Amino acid sequence: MPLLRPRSYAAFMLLAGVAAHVFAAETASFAVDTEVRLSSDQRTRGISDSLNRPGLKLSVQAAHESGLIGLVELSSVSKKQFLDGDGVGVTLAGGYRFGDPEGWHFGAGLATELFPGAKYEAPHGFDMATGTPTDFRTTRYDSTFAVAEIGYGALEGRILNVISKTYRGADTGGVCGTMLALMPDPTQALDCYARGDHGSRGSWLFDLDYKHSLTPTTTLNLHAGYQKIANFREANFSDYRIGITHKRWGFEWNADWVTTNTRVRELYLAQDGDTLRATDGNKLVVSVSRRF
Amino acid sequence: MKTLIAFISAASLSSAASAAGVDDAKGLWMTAQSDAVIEFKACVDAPAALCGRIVWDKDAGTPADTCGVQIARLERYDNDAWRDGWVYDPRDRKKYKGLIRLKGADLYIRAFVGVEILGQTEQLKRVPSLPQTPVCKP
Repeated sequence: MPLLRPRSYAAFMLLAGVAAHVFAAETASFAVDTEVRLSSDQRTRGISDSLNRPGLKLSVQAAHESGLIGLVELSSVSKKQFLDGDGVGVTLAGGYRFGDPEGWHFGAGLATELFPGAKYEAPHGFDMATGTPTDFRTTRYDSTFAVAEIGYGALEGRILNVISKTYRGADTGGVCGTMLALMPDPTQALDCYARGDHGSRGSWLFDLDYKHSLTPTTTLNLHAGYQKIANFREANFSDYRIGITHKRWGFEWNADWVTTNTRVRELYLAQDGDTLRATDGNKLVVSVSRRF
Repeated sequence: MKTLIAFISAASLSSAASAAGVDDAKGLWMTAQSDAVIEFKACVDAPAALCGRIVWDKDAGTPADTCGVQIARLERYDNDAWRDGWVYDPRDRKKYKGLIRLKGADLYIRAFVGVEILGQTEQLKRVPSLPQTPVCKP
């Protein structure tokens, strides 16, 4: 959950002429901030959600003087990764933030990530005697998280715990089934099935971010993340990002080098026609955003 | 006696340093995108408070002219920052709570709702004088 950003001076001065010398009596008790972002690739924790293609994201954040915050986010995602879906990812979040932005500050909340209509079917069991997959069931990609934030100055840490049945559909059918289908050697997949039928509730997602102002309009952004997927160590992965944000002409221009370290790359392949495409590749991602 | 003199000297130095902190925010400051200069000085109606007003705008003389708009007022200086005040957004005609802090050679203005963590910081650079054109009409 990014911080709420009241409008920049550069932006609000554009409409200031008519309003000059006219002042509201009270300070605002709430703020709403809308952002539209166009990216060369829509990445979440280093993994492409848009099959390495450009994506669009709309974010609306609201904050109340009590410290309560809310976020609604719509983003384009690939139907080849989020099967049978509408091609949209929806994030809803709410929580509470407090503390000193220059010193220690904290946050707590809940978030959910929905992919309307998206689901897949996969075998949740494997009959070792006959060598055939069994127990085909449908899984959705939706996830829900408990979120805690702790920061000191420009250093921000975030911990998410998955409280839904799965993290983005990671269960025995999804993880073991994908490994069985795509890995040349089935040993790991069979080991995975041998552990029984599980979801990934209880997974932990860790983020560490740091922003350093290089000039009043340019910021260096650093990120490190680690995802520990409950019951499926094969799906654990880390991601790193280094990038620059530059404000000009009322837009924010970003260039980020994104890299991931996945254990089993087959879990991050997506079928695109006759081709399997990796979604975890290292990549330079550029984006431009505008706040309203 | 030497101890007392030393104490008084230290207190004087401390007082002088504190006074310098209070005044450091005063002067001319260019916005991050170099589209306006804000002058911070003592408020006319409250000399102990700090007021900020736009004194140069790249759009001066156009319909987007913001010359003369007061964008901030902070009532007291405490713990290395000007506090208890507001900053103004003419676009939505809203005032936000504000805080102004000098870090290094730059001025940081934070606008927020309710609690300081819910806000954004704008970084300004000191300028010795106003750009020659365009000129804000008095």
